[in-house]
Amino acid sequence: MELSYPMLNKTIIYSKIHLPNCRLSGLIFFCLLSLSAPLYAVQITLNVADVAAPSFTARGIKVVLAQEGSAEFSIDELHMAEKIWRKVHIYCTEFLLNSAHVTCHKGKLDVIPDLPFTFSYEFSSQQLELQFTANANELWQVSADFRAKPWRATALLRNAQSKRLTDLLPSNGALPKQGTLNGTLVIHGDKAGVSKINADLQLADLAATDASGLHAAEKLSGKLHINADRAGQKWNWRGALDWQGGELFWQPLYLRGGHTLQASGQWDGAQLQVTQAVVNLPEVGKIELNALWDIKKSNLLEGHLVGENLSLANGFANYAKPFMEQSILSATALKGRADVDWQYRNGTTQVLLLQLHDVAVEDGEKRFALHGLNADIPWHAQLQNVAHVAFTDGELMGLPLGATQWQIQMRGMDFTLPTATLPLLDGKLEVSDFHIHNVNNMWQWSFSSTLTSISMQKLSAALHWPEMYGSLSGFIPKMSYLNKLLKVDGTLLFRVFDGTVLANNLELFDPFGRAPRLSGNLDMRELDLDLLTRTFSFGNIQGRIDLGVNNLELVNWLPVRFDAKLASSPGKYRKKISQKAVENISSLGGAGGIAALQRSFLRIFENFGYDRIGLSCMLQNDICTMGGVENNGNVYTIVKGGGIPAITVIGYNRKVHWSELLNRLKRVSQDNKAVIK
Amino acid sequence: MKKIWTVLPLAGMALSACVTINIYFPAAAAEKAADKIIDEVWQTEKPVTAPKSDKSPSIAPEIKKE
Amino acid sequence: MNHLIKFCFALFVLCTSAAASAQVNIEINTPGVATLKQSMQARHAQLAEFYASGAVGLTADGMIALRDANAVPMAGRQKVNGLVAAENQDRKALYAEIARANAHPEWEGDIRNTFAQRWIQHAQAGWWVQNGGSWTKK
Repeated sequence: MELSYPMLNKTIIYSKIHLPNCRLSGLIFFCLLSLSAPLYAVQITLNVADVAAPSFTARGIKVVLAQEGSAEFSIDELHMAEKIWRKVHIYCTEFLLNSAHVTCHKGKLDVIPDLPFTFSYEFSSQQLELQFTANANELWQVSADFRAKPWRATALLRNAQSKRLTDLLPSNGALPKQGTLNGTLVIHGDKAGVSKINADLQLADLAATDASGLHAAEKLSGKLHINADRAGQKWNWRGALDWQGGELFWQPLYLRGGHTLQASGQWDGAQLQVTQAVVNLPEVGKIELNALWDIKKSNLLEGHLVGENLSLANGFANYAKPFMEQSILSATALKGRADVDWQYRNGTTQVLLLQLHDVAVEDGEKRFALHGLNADIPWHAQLQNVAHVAFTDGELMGLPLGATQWQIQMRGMDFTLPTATLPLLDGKLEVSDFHIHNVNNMWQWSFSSTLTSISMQKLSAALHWPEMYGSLSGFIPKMSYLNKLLKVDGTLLFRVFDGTVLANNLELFDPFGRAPRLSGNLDMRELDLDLLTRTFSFGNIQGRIDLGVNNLELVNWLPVRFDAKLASSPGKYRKKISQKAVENISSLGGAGGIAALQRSFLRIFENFGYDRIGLSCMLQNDICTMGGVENNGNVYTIVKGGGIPAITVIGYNRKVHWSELLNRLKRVSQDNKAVIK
Repeated sequence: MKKIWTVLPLAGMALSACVTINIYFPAAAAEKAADKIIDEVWQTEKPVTAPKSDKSPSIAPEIKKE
Repeated sequence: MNHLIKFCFALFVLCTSAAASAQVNIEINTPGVATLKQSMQARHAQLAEFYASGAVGLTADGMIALRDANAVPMAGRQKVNGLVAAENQDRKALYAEIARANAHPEWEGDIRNTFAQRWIQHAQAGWWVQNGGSWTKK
């Protein structure tokens, strides 16, 4: 230690400062330099290499004491509470250090120049006072009494600007930008450290955000009340949070004020136990929960949540849907009430008891809906149980569903519905062996079913198709869904237009996506042309046809590719084609044909006889390659004449744009509708 | 004529060589397709006029008197 | 020998024309592409302001991402989340659909890369685009 006294009228007293739990160590050496300046400009400079204490170190301390009583402290590097400050500069207008106390009046920290402070410490009574004050009645005050047993420190905040805490908070989290804090924080302690904390804080107009804006708050106001007592290594705590107003966005949740939380529990540094908590969710209901949280790994070890009579409308929209933007439920709205009991342990849900009361589920894109849904779902991870689900009516892809009751057997992530009846229009879908299970986080399901006859009239009306007659019935040996692919094993049978339609190899990819893709083959036999032409107002044709459609592919229910072949069915039956129908077939090829017929004497006949009708279209890349009963180069026969008077319709251009063909078909059906009127 | 006989096997070889064509990703065409879609989605360009319709009569009734 | 040369030249021409025809076109006139295009076009009216404000940017992998939520009022952030998710779903479906419509499902990645470049190329000045992991303003 090197000390050199200049001839000064000032005395320097070196005093050891003992703070509880704090010791000064390390290499301290004072280098007292006197300036070779004249006496009126006397100042003393102290250099301290470093000061170290648990959770506190300061390096490169320089103190400059000036003659008029001011002092300047600069610290190159300050570590405190796992934070580092560099080049800290403190200025005291009046600095006094004597055997009784140390004080700093009108002090200024250069990081907060607008917040002057006053500091005093009495050595004998070990009392500390630190007070920051600023304009707008802002006050941060700390008073401590270290001699008292237990020692006590009190912080009083009045209009404290929350943004001043920015440097103390983790820089990657949400940082306060504005808002004030009011309240008190009282800490008691003994030799072992802090033993008791009481906090009573009120937030007003708080705004905070992280760099990305994914975690942010605005105009937040509320009250926080915490009491915590240490017993040995454990803390017992009790707290209440009343979030009165403002908004919060915590990706992906957006919440508004009105939430309250009362909770109590234990904390031992490694685990946070919430023994009992009540959360009040505005416009949803009350939830009681307890939980055990691993702080280091920041994950949930155990949890139990109970909510009764919760409103699903807001509950689902505010707290569940934001997590489901990618799922089919992203556009779903729920109504009704629910009871929930959720138990979590060992990294997975153990029990989920769910009761739904008069719930309505509606898809925003009108793909599905359920009304009057009541359910009792007692799900246990380890136990086998039965769920009861019932709804009064619903809708699936525009098809109305009738009242239904299901009993679902649950065994873990494996659900079976041995038999179920789903009323569909005037018929019903009898489902058997419905099996749904989750493998590697992907749901897959399968069932077999029988469809008892649905009237085509009702079906076509429900799907906004032209009115059809006949019935639809069928047997589906197995329908399965895996990885967005809905697959029908076996053959679907429909009875329409007095004939049969067999559909096989049906596959529907991404049924609820933007562009569902259907592929398969259709084989239609002995369709009654009379019924068919009446349905599509095409001009009457009598007879029967077979229609085969192979390699059919529809995207968003529009044909992309198929290989269709229409031909008169074998066998004996009446064959007649009306003049209107001939005109319409002709006009599919453009405008010229009709005129030819109109000009001829044949216009006086209502009906013509025919021998065979045949038309094929192979659609690929938006071009339909046509063919007929007989093909000869670019010429093909669509209607081959027979009987008296006979008519033969011939096509000349075998390649037609699909969109053009559709336009012509549309024109034909529109024209005919106009005629019927 | 004799020359042709020498040419034919050569031609066969050349033909078989040029038949095996690997289809690589058509980068230029894909770029054009992407540009077209992007223009439509972002409406950065006015849509081109509607495609011309096929007006030629291709089907006509042939009238026969029997 | 003159004939031989002529013949070989003819073959060469034939071959090059065959090779040219192998340079297939990319088919995009399918109902699937049309539906997705329409859906994205309708959404663009809502997304445009977020591209302009920098809230949403174009990623290097042909998708879009919420880049700076601070540019959106708090109550609107959830909506932007939804728009971004829906747009990305459509974009992914679009790339797959084009590949599939051209009978080369394995081209999906190439198509996605092509689109990624073209989206960025076509982006308006002031929009944010991802460039080798970091965001830059165009």
